[in-house]
Amino acid sequence: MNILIVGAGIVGFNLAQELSHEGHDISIIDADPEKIKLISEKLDVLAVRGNGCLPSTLIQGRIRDAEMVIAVTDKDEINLMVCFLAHKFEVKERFARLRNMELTGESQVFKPEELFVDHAINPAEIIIDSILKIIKTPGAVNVAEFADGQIFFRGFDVPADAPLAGKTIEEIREVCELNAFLVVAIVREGKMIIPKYENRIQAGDKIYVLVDHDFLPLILPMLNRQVDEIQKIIIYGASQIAVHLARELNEFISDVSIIEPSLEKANEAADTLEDTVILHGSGTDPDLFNDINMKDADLFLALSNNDEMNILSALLAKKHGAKRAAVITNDPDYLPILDSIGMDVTINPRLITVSEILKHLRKGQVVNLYKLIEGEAEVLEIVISAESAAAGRLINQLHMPEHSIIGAVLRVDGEMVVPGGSTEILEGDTVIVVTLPDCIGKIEKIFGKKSSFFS
Amino acid sequence: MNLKAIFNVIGILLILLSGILLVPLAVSLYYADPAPIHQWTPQAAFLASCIGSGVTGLLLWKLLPSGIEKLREREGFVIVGVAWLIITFFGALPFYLTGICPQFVDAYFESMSGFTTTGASILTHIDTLPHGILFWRNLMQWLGGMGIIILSLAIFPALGIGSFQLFKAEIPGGATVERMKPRLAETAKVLWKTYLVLTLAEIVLLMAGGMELFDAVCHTFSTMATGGFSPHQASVGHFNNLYFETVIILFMFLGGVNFALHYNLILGNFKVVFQNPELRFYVLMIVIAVAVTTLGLAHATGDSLEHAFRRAAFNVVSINSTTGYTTDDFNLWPDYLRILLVVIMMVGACSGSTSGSFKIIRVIILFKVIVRELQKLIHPRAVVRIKVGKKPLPTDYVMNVVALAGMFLGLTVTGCIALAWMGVDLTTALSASVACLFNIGPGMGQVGPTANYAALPEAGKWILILWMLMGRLEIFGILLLFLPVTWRK
Repeated sequence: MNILIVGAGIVGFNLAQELSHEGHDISIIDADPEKIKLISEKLDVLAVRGNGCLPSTLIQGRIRDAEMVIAVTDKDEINLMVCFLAHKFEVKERFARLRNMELTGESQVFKPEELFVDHAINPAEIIIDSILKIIKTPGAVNVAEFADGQIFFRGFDVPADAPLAGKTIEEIREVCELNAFLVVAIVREGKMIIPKYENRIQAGDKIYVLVDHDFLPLILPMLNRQVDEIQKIIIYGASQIAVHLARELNEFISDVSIIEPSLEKANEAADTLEDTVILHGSGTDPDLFNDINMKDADLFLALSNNDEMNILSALLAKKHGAKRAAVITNDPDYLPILDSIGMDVTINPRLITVSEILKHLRKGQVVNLYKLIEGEAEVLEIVISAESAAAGRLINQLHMPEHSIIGAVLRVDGEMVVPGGSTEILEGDTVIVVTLPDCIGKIEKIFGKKSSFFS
Repeated sequence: MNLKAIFNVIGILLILLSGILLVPLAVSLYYADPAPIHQWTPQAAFLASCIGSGVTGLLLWKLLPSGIEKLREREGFVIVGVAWLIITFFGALPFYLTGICPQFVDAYFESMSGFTTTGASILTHIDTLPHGILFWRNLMQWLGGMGIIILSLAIFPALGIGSFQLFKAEIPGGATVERMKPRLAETAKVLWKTYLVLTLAEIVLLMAGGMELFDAVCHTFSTMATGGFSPHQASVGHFNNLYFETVIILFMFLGGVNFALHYNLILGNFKVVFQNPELRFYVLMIVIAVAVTTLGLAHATGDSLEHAFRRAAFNVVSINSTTGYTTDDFNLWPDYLRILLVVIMMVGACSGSTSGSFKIIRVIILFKVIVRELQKLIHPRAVVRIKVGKKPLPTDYVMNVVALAGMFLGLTVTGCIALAWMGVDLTTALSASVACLFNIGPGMGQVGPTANYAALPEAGKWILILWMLMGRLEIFGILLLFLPVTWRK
């Protein structure tokens, strides 16, 4: 497929990279000559320097041949304009990142479709959603949902005293008579393993599980996580995400405070938020941390737009006694170190945006996709159609590649089956697959149409 | 420096070359070429080269598992440089094994002259050579014209990852060349398809005028590649046929035009083509040079205008497009016309074409740099951007052009001095240096259109071999091979 991407920031670059590897023909437009130079040296794509709002630039970027336009510049206005122009050039599918929540949230005065945006992607909404889920799942460091919320995907740290620690996957399956969840990935020392029966879970690992939503409370004791209620949350940075999140949090948590270094922004936040305490100060000020009793904080969220300040303030907050810390970092290059310096939850809005867009693009019957930070693994939700090569076969007949696993099978009647070798895949099933990137091509073949490999 | 990755890619290229060598083998079998001088038969020589290249290629490819995804810029240049040296070696084997070139340097010279589309030859009595060998000379030019690495990018798209470096290092005109398709493999395919279409067109036109298939194919190969090898000693002058000359002039001209423009022409974007500043300059330069030469020849030799025009048109277009076919001994022309020829030699044709030389676009840029310096004297605070057409050029690129101009001049002078030191006369030394560095072929004096390079000293031939390669790959990529820092880990 010919795809035109406007905006060569982190999102644009990553999308171009992924999509070009998957065999799409990519053109990318950006106004910054440095970015264009970098991208044309690193990727096999057509890179055009220019203003994406100008039809002439878009023509240079081959918009006439494009079947899809993805507008991911910094500015919502430009993204809207690009989609409008793309409509004039009769491009079939148009994506835009719209960060302004008034354009996409509940209070919107128009639908994005009215401005010719087929798919509006707001990373902020997704981030707020996942932070709320993390808060509601004690101990979880990573959350996603599949099959319309039927199946939960959760990541947990394994403490030393957890009943699971030291057990192999096989032993866990024997002990747990309910058979309602499966460990689909283990992260040990920054490396992701797709576990086999004989792999052992160790204290200090991070594990990812797929679990039926009804059974989530039952697995928490196995990880020795009590449902300890979060009572005090401190947020650094009065960003758009922080303000919207605080408003949602106030519904069920009384003690929410936001630290904001800019007086102007602090005032703005104070104007819109009723029940949140807004503090004007630095995110790295120990005195301020003492004043607001950081040692009692159950969760510290660093949500400002500055990666470095987020990391520093979260480190300091943990030092001052905050029980858990979550940080937002935009630069994916920081991700490998965040885990090793003790960040409990890391959120990357860029990767979230990329996976939202990829979800729509994956070949085959992939209906949902979630990108994990470690090892760039992906969780795919695949609906088995009648033409699928996998329909009607047992799992051990599928010859799944080594770095991938079928984590859950959801039958048409809503029953979740924890898959084993003898589980049969039926037409209409929803299958959740966890895979490292080197196996994505094989997965597509296994679940694709019998004859023509999705062509 | 990732040596494994470099030799892995070179392995793939050698496998490709081994496949290509089957073609002259088949030609040689068809014509049942006899062994020339109590040496290997051409068939055996081609088979040996084919096997040698294939086995070396397979070994490199299999033994050095690839890491080609992560090619850095310098590795791209090193791959292209080393690959050309090795491919030329295997291309030289048939000449050496058959004993047509008893000295290895001569075989390597002929092969390098082929692949770089220079067209300088050390062979004498060309008409008596076996068909397979003649065909191979011209096939080398055809491959080298569009580039064997670009061919491999089109055939093995798997190489396409990270291979913008390779593409940039091989295409004549370097970074100025625009991508026609988002994917390099697709761009390479479009280039080769366009090339193929033009090649077929010329073969058909030549045969329609009564040329034999073998001659038509050979001449077409070296015309489209702006190479200049001919299976006849007297080059195109052999036929003394106006129709053939007209067809060849047309296709020499087309070979010197940016292939992106040919593609646009096929797509029907006439505006893009006719507004191209480089093409306009190219046409204008040819018109002026042909006019001056016609009048000059008519005046000097008392030739009729019509006949002078025919001689002028063919030889000027041949030299300007860096082909190097001849229908006339321009060694005997008046001096000012010979110098004019050397000047248009050095300017050359368009970027992104199969021609060698400095390229018109760079001349335009140099000219604008000079104008800018003058403007700066008049308005010291003026901001003047260098533009070609309506497109401003990045400063880095302008600097590269200026440096390249310096290198071309420097190497011309160095080559000239080296040859003169070996006892070659001034006209020959200077024109040989220019004709090889700028990939033209025939020079003046002892290396003029009726003579060839056989008589030059051996060391001189090695220098010219290097000059041809530097000219084809635009100097910097080859210079890089000689810098210790390139090979450091």
